[in-house]
Parts: sequence; C-alpha cells; structure tokens
Amino acid sequence: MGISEKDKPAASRQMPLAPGLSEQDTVTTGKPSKFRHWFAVGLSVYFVLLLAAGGIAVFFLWKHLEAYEAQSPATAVSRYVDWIQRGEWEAIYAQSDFEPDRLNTKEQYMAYLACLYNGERESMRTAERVSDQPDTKQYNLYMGDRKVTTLTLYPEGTTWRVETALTYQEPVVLTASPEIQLTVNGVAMTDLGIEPVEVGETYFDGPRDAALFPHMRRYTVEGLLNPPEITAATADGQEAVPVEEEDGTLFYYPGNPDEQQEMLELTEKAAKAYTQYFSKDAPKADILNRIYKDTPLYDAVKQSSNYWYGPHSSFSYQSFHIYNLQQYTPDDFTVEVAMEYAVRFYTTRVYPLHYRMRFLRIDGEFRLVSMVADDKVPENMTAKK
Amino acid sequence: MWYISRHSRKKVKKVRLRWVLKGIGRCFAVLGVTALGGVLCAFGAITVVCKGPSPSARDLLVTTMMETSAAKFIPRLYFSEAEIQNILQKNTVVEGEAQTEAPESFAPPETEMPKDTIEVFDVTGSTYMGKMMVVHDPSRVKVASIETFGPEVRGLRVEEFAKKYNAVAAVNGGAFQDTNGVGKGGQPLGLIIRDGKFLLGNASTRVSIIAFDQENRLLVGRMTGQEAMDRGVRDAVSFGPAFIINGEPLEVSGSGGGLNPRTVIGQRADGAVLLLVIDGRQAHSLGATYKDCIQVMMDYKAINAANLDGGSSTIMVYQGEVLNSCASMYGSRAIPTAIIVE
Repeated sequence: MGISEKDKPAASRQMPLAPGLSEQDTVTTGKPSKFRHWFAVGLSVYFVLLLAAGGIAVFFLWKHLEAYEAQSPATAVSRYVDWIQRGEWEAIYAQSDFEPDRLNTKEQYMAYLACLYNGERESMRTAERVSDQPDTKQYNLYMGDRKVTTLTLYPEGTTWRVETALTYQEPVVLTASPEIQLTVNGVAMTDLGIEPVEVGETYFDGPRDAALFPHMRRYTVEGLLNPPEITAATADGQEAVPVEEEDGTLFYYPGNPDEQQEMLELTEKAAKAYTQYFSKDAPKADILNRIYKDTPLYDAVKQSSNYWYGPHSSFSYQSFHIYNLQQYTPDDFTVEVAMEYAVRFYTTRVYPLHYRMRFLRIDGEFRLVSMVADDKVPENMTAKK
Repeated sequence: MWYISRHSRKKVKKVRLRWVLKGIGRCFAVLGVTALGGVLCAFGAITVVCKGPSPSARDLLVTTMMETSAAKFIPRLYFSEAEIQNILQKNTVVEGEAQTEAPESFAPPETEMPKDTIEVFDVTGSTYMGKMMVVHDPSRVKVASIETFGPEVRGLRVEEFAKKYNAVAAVNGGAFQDTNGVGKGGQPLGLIIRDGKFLLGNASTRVSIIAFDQENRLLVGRMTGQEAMDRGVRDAVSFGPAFIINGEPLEVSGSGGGLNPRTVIGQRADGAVLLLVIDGRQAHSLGATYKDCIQVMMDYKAINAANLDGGSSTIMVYQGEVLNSCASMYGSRAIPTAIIVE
C-alpha cells in the first residue's frame, strides 16, 4: 500500500524519504501495487516446488519400498509358496542349490517336492520360527494345522534363496547273493560305489568252517529322497524274489527249475534215509553219506543209536510233502519236509514229522549241512486232508 | 534531512503498521503453505506405504499403528475393519494353548554370582534400544497392584509403585482398560493374583497370564483362574502373547506385530528372571516387533517368556531412577499393576 500523491506536502517532494518507505511506496501510480501479485505468485511457486519435492520424495519412497519388498524374506517365502501352490517344481529347482547326483536326480527332487506338498495347497500358510542356523531365517510351512516342513532362507546378494528342508528316507538295506545284480533308481550297485558287507554267516549254518558258506552281500543305501526303485535279477534276466526282513530286504535267488527238481529229489532221498534209519528200516550209512562230515549234524547222527527201536512188519508214508524250497544263492537251498510216517506191528503207529533241511554245494555236490526236526506237520499236509 | 508533516507522519505510522501486519500475514501464509505441503506429502507417503508396492511395509505400519492408543485412525483411513483384522491376524505370534510345564527345580546358576545380584545390560537392535535387567533371585520378583479397581480410580506410575512397595526395581505390569488412550489406569483386565490372593479375574475364563508359583517358577501361557490357583500361583497378571514356552520359541507369522515400545518378562533355566524394556516411537528407537523380543529373550537364554503391557506404559525403574525413555512426552503413565523387585 502506498501514500497517495495528494497526501504528500509539496516541500517533501524534494526531501529524503522516511525510513521504511521506498520510492515505489511514496510515489503514487494510481494503480494497485504489483507486489501483492508477486507474493502470491511466489507463494504459488513455492507451493508447487514443495509439492514437487514431496512428489519426488514419495516417488523415491515408492522405489525404496519396491526394493524393500523385493529384498524382504517374507516376499521370498510368499513367492516360493506361490510356486508350490501352482506346482512349479521347475522354478523351485532352478533357484535351489540342490545338487543332483545319480541317486537323487532333478526328477527325483521334483517328485520329492510334489509328494511333500501333496494336499490342500490352498490352505498353506507360513510362520517364522527362530532359526537354528546362523545367518538364516526359517519358516514353518503348514497345510491347515498340519506342519509340512521347514523352509530355510539363505541370504543371496540382496535377496533370499528359499530351500525346502530335505528329509531323506531311512537307509535302504538290501541283501542278495553276488549272482544277483541289484540296481537302485536304475543305477547298478557297483556303479554307486557302495561297499557291501559280507553276511553269509547270518544266513547259513552247518559247516564248522565258515569259509564254506556261500557269499551273501548286504548293501546299505543312504541319502535317498524318495522310496527307491529297486531291481534285482540274475545275469540271464530272472528276477529275484524280495522278502521284507526286520533289517531290510532279502532277495532270494530265483533258481533253475531243472536244478530245483534235482534238489527236490535229493531232499526226498535224504529225508527218507534219515527217517528210516531211526526205525531201523535203512542203514546209518545212507544218511551219513548225504551229510557233510564237518558238521554238528553229522556228529549227532553218527553218535545216535536206533538199537532200541522195536521190530515191526512194515513202514509207509501216509503223506509226504516237500515245500518252501528257497535258495539264497546258486550254491545252497533250504527246504521243508512234512510227512506222516507209519510203522506197522499188529497195530499201526503214525509219526508226524517235520524237517527243515539245509543243503550247501560243497566240492560241486549238494550236501545236507543242518537240519531241524519236530512233529509240527501243517494241517493241510496230513493224510486226512 | 527529511521532513514529513504531522498529518503525514500519522499516515506513515499507519502504513508501517499495515506493513507489519502484512509481513506477519505473509509469514503465516508461507507457514501455512509449508504445513499444507507437509501434510500432503505425509499423506502421500502414508498412502504409498498403505497402498504401495510393499505389503510387508504396509503390514508393519498397520500393526504398529493399531498397537497405539492414539494413531489407530490412520490405518482406518485406508482399510476396512475386516482388512485391518486380517492384517493383524497375519502378523502376530502364533499362540496355542500351551502352558509352562514347570521344572522340578532350577538348573545350577550359569554364573558364580551372589543370589541378590541384579544386573542391567543395554540391548540394541536395528530399530530399537532397551534395557535388560537380570534378577538372579526369582523370589524377589512380585506383582504390585493398586488397592482398589475401577474406571474412576487412578492407577499409580511405576515410580510410585517402586516407592510404595520399597522396591529396588520395577517395570510396568498387566493389561488395563485404556479408553481412547486416556484411561486413568485404575481398571485392570484379566487376572491379578498377589501373594496367593485372587484380586481380580474369573475362575473359568481362559486368559494369557504371566505368573510366579510358590517355587518362584515363571508360568506363561493361557489358563483359567482356577488352573492358576491349582498350580499354586503366588503372583500373576494378564497379558500376552507368550513368547517362549518350555524352551520353545513361539512361531511368528508375518511381521510379528509392529514396531513399538515393549516390556517383556522371562526366566532362565537357573531361575534368574529377565526383565526387558524396549524404547519406541522415538527418534533413537523406533521400537521392536514380537519377533525381535523373542530373539532377545532367546539370546539371554530364557526358557519361558511373555509380553507385558507395552507402548507408553513401558518403563523400567531401578534404585529410584527411570532407566529407559518413556514413549509418552508426558512421562510415565498411571497403571494398575507393576512387576517389582523387592
């Protein structure tokens, strides 16, 4: 606001201006001052600049938050869970540091994930737990209320690499003769470099010299992600027969049908020689000739006596069965015999007999090496049946 | 030399006054525009956090604000109540129904220190600073409370509790009614047991409790008043969640709560009681999440630990001095219960 021209005394026109007044203020123009507009314009410019600075700050905040989110462990976990929910095992494999080997291939790894995360994937949720490994973060992953696994996050540059905790299968124990070729997940045992343990003594008895036992090898396969695909076959392609035992899987030798027929005949002769010896219907030499000498069985039979067995008119086999022929190796077989042995002298006395006999091939010939006898004839093998 | 007539001098004075007024007006205009710009920028920044590219930052902001008494309105500007509840549920401690299974006896002391020792350590993290007090004799740690409860009753400040009970040290205690953040601190919530006497609570309602039994073992988890009495609790307040139960840290989903001032109590296997206060909502210390608190308590080898009331209630007093910096600019507030060390 200025002083109008009419208010100014004539003398003062040549005088110095009062302090605080400018020429512009004192000289009237008859129009409003532009200063007000300049201030308004300046203030507007200031406001615009302020908004621009704010806008830039917000822009950088946005960028910072983008980077923060990208680097956040929660984002890494969330992305990983998305992959799981969509079954994108390739993506999970690609970011993982899993190193495939001959037993656990890439396909095995992906199959493991598919099996582990099988279920209601929509109900997946994660919860962070205190990590038990330094410099890592850990999240438990749940499907509903069931804890599925623990995800471990490893720092990698500015982001995080997520790994599913791998739970390996219990060690797989396989026992077979050397003539049976074993493979695990398509890889031959010899190629895996797993050293077998000789366990012949576990499966054989009889000869005092353990060197006479056929070889049996036990392999322990560890570090498998999935239940293994196992094959066991002879060189000529005959599949071995697996039997689950307490400490693993045992593979019986499949055997040769012709050879097994001979084994059955041999068993019949030995069983009858043994039975008839005790009723004085066969000489001791018949059975002794079939038993390997350096065995407790040979000694027992040799020292036994049938002197006290009473006279009788005849004997016969009311039933006679050979069953459960099993071979661990080509050089042994175990077999069971069930019979009802009848001895007649005025009346008939029937002896139910059950033998479990083991033969080993020694010096090229099958010899009886051990035998367990009792009277437990299976009901379906009696004469009445 | 200059000359102005008397009449003109009046005019000049008038002009000067106008100029002064105009100057003040313009200053206000500049300040107003600056403030407006600041508000708009702050609004823009909060909008970017709430609706921008980072759900993690959004969750942290929402959980932080919702744990305050005065700033709950900010998340409500951007989200519905259902959305806020969803965010809170996704970012907390996963608390089951587990309870402390008190050991028969304490393990041998970790350090050869006189039983009456009290140690205080500084605790720091990327977003927080605080104090950890280690009380080697757990029998000294008790619950203090005001005599009568009610909405019109005024509670006591932690310093007043310490003075009243002649305590060596004290921290704030359990839950209380705090309507709009300006409650008088005289209406506790949940359960209060002091010296084996049931002062407040319901025998059949299950609540999160922090208790000491007659053998001075810290019990945390959810239990009813009846269960607490059956277990021989001598002192108890209600708050939660539990952080560590029987040596197992509880899981945390999402950000695990916001960045806020915290008070935490725990016990080591040798019986030593851990009292932790974390400053928050201040420039030197933004605060700690539940996750941070669990980590600190694990670092100090707690086998049981739980969260006490926090925010502007968080205060630690030792030998008459406040050791931490209260989040409230008005200083510590009145509350109905405190944990004291006799």
